[in-house]
Amino acid sequence: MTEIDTTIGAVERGDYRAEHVALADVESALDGLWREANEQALASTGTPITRNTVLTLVACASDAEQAQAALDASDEVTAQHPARTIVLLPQPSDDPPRIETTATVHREGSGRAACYSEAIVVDAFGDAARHMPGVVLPLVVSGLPTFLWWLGEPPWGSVLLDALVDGADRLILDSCEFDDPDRGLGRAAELMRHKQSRVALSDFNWTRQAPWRELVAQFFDSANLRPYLTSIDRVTVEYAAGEEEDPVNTAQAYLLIGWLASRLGWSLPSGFRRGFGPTRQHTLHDQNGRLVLVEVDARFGMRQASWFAIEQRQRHQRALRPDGDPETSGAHAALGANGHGEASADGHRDAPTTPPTPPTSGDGFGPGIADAGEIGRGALMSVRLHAIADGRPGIFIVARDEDLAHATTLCQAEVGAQPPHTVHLPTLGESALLHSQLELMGHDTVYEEALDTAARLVGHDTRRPAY
Amino acid sequence: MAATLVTPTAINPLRAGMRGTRTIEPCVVVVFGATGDLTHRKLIPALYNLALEQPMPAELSVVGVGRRPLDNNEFRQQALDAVDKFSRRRPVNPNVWETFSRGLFYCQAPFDDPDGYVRLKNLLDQLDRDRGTLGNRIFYLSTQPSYYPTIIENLREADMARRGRPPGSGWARIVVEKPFGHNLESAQGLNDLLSTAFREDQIFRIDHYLGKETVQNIMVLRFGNGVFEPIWNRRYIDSVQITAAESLGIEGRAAYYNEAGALRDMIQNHVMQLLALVAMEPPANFGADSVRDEKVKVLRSIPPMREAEIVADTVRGQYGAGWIGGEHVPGFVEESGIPPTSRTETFVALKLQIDNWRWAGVPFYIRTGKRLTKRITEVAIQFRRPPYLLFRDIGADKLQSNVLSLRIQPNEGISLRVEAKVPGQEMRIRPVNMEFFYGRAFGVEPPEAYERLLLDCMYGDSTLFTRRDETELAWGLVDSIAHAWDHPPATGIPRYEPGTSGPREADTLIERDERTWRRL
Repeated sequence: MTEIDTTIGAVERGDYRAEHVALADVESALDGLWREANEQALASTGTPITRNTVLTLVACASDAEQAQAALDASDEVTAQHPARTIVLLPQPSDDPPRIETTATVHREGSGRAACYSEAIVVDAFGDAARHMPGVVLPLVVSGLPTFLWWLGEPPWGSVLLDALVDGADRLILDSCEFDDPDRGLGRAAELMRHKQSRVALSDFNWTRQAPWRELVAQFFDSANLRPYLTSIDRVTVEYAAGEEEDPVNTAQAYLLIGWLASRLGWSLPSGFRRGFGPTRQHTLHDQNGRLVLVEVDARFGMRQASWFAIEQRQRHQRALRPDGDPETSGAHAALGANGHGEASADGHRDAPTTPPTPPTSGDGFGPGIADAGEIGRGALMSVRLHAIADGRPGIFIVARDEDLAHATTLCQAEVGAQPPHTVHLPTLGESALLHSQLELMGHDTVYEEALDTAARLVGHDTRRPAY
Repeated sequence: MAATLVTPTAINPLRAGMRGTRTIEPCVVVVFGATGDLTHRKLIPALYNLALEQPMPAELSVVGVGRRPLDNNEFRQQALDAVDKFSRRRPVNPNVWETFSRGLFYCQAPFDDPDGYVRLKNLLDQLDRDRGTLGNRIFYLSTQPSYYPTIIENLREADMARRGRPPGSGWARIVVEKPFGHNLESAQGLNDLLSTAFREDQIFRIDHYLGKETVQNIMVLRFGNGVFEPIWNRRYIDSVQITAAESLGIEGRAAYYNEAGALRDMIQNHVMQLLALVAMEPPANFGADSVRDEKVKVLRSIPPMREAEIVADTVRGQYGAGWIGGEHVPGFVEESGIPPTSRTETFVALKLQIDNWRWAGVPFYIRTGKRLTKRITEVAIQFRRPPYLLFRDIGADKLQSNVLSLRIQPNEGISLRVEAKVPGQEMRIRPVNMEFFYGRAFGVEPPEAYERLLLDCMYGDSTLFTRRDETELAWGLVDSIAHAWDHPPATGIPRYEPGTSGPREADTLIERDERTWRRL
């Protein structure tokens, strides 16, 4: 067993780790690590630690990098969601079947404010990789919610996915990581329908897109402008794309359209045809049977990168920023004034040395982001609605600013002006996204209906019992 | 011109499932006292934070009204400085500030000058046209209380209060800051005056304690959990302690504080609100009037205190000079602006009874004061002790009763003290705390009270604001105590040393009942 201490930013963290543990010995190895952590806490603070688990997170990775990303994210949400994380790394091959596990007890923060969680990394080689469910299910903590996080596009229709989903309360996806987003959205909706109410679905990409939905909704908070909502005749959604020959990711665009269509009761006409390629047009019917033209446009020439790579670079930049203002150094933004730091004033407890950091959005809005000029794959660039109410046209636009880190609204309607409104579009890190999914209990019906509509737009008839 | 398109569609279907499911209508916030301390410290930063974190409509506009000659740009610069200094979201995001600040305007007007109100009205009409604010206004009284009557009268005379307007033609609301009067009579007078201009549902009497998440959580804790409500009564609860302690002195508010004292400054509003939320019956729903009806019932169940009871069950004190945190601090009467003969109380301890089926016989011990050991506001529910029989042989007299403490500030959270066995061969028992901290459990900073209350006012939801009858009932109680204290006028007032938990007499008050104050 080894102990590894690291300090990232201002958060001190440490791991108690046992490697090459036989599957049957995992629980006792964890017990030993907890004892070790407890002894050390007693020695340094005089207070024993609590072994606390509120959920099981099963993270399914397809390579070592993804596995590490899953571990990092679950470590960072320790304070809010002390969990047992099980990271699966199946590596099917012709080698003899073999399972290797690493057990870890993770400490986030230090002193009496430290929080702890535990993780089990399961590497499965050879044929064992094809029989993971039997490995995972006994490790799941019974009686607690189980979240299944699939990094990358899941192997749709596979026995592994099916069995793991059956054991989970929520399946967390990230449609921006799908190799084929059309297929991915379609199959995700199929899975949702097939599993009925047994498993709830969520998508990091849906959470990333929340500020856009908020801005679009905001136009129609004004009673003056609300009549336009029932008379939209054209929607154009523009998403970021690289060079023309590069693959595109239309997931964000379709989720937004799916959301609008499902909220406003638009339907697909019979004989509806899906589009192909990066730029597409669809025709829908609104509740009154009028046509709505929907366009999905690619904005080519954007410097695209993985959302997480961008977030990590931003986080790194903030950490390096000389002013060290906690409000700009992102990870600590939410902590500053809320009282952890004042714990000593309370007197019931000693002052914590390093408070654990809640996961927050990358909130820095410095020039660093603009300099990078990079944007997440398939990110929304603009949403444009055109409507005619009582013969009077109205145009409602949400457009990403040139710095790529903000969006500004524009409204041109004859019945009443709405001044422009700018908001910051945070680049959310994996831990912040994970945190928001772990907070969700039950179905997010707005998302699920949006997904269902999006899937039909990209050409999947989810009513077909294909799964 | 816009009238033909306005249809009374109640909801925005796109709001379903969003964090702000309710719809905020566009409006103008008119702040009287635009250059004042409260405006800079709280209001402007709160409005900016709301714009930054999105729930705010794009049309939202702010008009500062003040006596000083400023133009829009100077007012915007002041606002920017205020956000830079006091917002919890610093530094200012320049892009968001750019569009937000375009909605800030200044109107120079002495509060007693009718022409100023004409200018204000013209400006507001102009904003309705330019920024789509639809005739909706929130008037925020952030001035000295002595200006309230003048402003209210002028708003009425200028036809800006819109008492009788039909729905759909723009609404007006007025937010009144504390102190709301200085006794029952003046509070009634202010209420009467307000009601000549505004309907009760247009009036938002702000008590920023009610905007705190922890205060709202009292209702969730009590009514959203199955385990507490069945034992939330005289059968299981021994007593309740409410503490609102501050380590600071009067901090430059000498004139106001010397006039008011702790009783009027804290008990009449904040403490009585906490007490009402802890003691009320479950409301029929979370609607504004249902909740406030229940709070009023609690206040009505507190019998007026007779003189003998006031002598026995109330204690006041005044801090003397001394040392706090290694620093010498002046006594209250040595503070600048306080007459040396002042007998104003800076500390109050009370024992109250709530005479209803739930609480009869359960004393509510209340204390509040300045220059105490530390800043802490909490409600502690002390449960009855269990029978000792089992533990008699092992020092059962040390067994403590369970305490559920609701911490309002700082370190917002809840803790439950339970007795536990110390691991080992022997049977040793020690109290341990089961704690829940807001910041840690939810990983987010709770929004500022003012942000929540401003939003609620924009929604038109007055649940977290005090209604006329609440204010007047609380004043009735406070007046009866103040009256007894002044008749005959006290010749002296107990002094306490700064940095302690108050005068000795406060300990006597509770120890008489074989109880003790919780340690601060």
